[in-house]
Amino acid sequence: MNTVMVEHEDETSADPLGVAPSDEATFRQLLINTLISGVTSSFLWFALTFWVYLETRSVVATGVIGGAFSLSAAFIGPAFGTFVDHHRKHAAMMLTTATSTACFAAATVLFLLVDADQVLRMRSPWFWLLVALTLLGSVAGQMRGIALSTCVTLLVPEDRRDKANGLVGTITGVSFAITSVFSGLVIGNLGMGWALYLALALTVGALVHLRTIHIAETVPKSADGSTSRIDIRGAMEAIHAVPGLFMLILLAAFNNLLGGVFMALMDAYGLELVSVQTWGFLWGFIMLAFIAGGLIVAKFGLGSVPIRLVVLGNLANWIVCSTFALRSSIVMLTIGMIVWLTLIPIIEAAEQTVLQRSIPFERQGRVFGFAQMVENAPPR
Amino acid sequence: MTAIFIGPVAEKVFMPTMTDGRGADWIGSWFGTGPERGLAVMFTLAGLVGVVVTLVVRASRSYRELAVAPS
Repeated sequence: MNTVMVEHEDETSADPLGVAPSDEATFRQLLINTLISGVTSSFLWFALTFWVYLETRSVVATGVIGGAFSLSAAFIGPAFGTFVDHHRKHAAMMLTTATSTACFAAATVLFLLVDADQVLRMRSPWFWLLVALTLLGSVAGQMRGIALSTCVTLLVPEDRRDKANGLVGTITGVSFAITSVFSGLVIGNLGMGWALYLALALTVGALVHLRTIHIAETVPKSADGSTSRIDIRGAMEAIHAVPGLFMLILLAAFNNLLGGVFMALMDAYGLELVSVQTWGFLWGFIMLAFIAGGLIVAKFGLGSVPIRLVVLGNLANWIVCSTFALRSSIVMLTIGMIVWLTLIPIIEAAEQTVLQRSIPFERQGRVFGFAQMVENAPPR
Repeated sequence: MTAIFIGPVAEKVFMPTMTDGRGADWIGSWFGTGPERGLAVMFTLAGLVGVVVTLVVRASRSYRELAVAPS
């Protein structure tokens, strides 16, 4: 049981991560917990996608379930954001983890009871039920991010939030890396059954661990009088109250859209230049840049005007994007991708920091949920 | 989402034009020709659009408002 003191104002930062000791412990526990649930959700989702593709060889099937994930995440974001604002953050996190656990348990039972031949036919209701359960459980895990972002505001003093956001980026990178290595390995060597058992065991572990974490918080009173369950208007009001902020969210959405071009074509381009094996290995190496970017922010922070970093970071990334392919060179591609992936967590941490500074805490869940809907950041 | 829409555009438009189409005639001599150069053109164009949009944002009033009010 981590009992957390409410006062943290006068703690001096002797710790390297720059978070006050009392709440730092809680925040770090939440980070670890979010890492476990994030890895589990994306691992099982990737495993399902691989499995469906390997068993059916249908690009349509994998395309449809990939699109379904993005759409569900976009639609559930604002609803969960509203829930986060109206409840204690710990309760919101418990909800996501309990949902994941229930869905993965049901998916496991279905997998054990129904014959694999029946599950793998796209006409079969069992196929769609398995996809739906895994999808709901994985999207619930993804929703964690909204609650965690508000916990940064809650637990970390304002002058250190940039570094905390850097840590959030770091764990995102670590989950990417773990997921991309293990989902293929488990499906290739052990099969879908083991992927389900592993995911179920990990979510149960995350649920038990989350129960032991205590966040010093009170039940939010709904002072703004919003009763809507999906309060997009509340998010818009909060965004419009800050001059220029709407532009920041639009910019992030635009960058994700255009960045989607970059990511979607990258595999095809890379595979024209090197073999599949080299490409897989190179990606594993390049992904470390994402973790490094998060760690840079965690160590050095973002300075006093984070919005400047958002714009400069994007400018640098687009310059990279417009120059790295001028010659068909794997060296230029590797350097370009390393720069790109180092800057992404820095830009994202800067955006989070701007939102946490300018949006009142009571509305941050809705704003992060809204941003998730507009930006619809795809997991790679 | 972008992936669903951009794949066909690459396959139907950019890759053929840079292999033996108008794109190859026009810039092929220095940009190179072949299907992967079609993808390369898309990266370069996306990057240029991104640079322009970011510069427009940087010059905008919205940006100055956010940059001066760190509160």
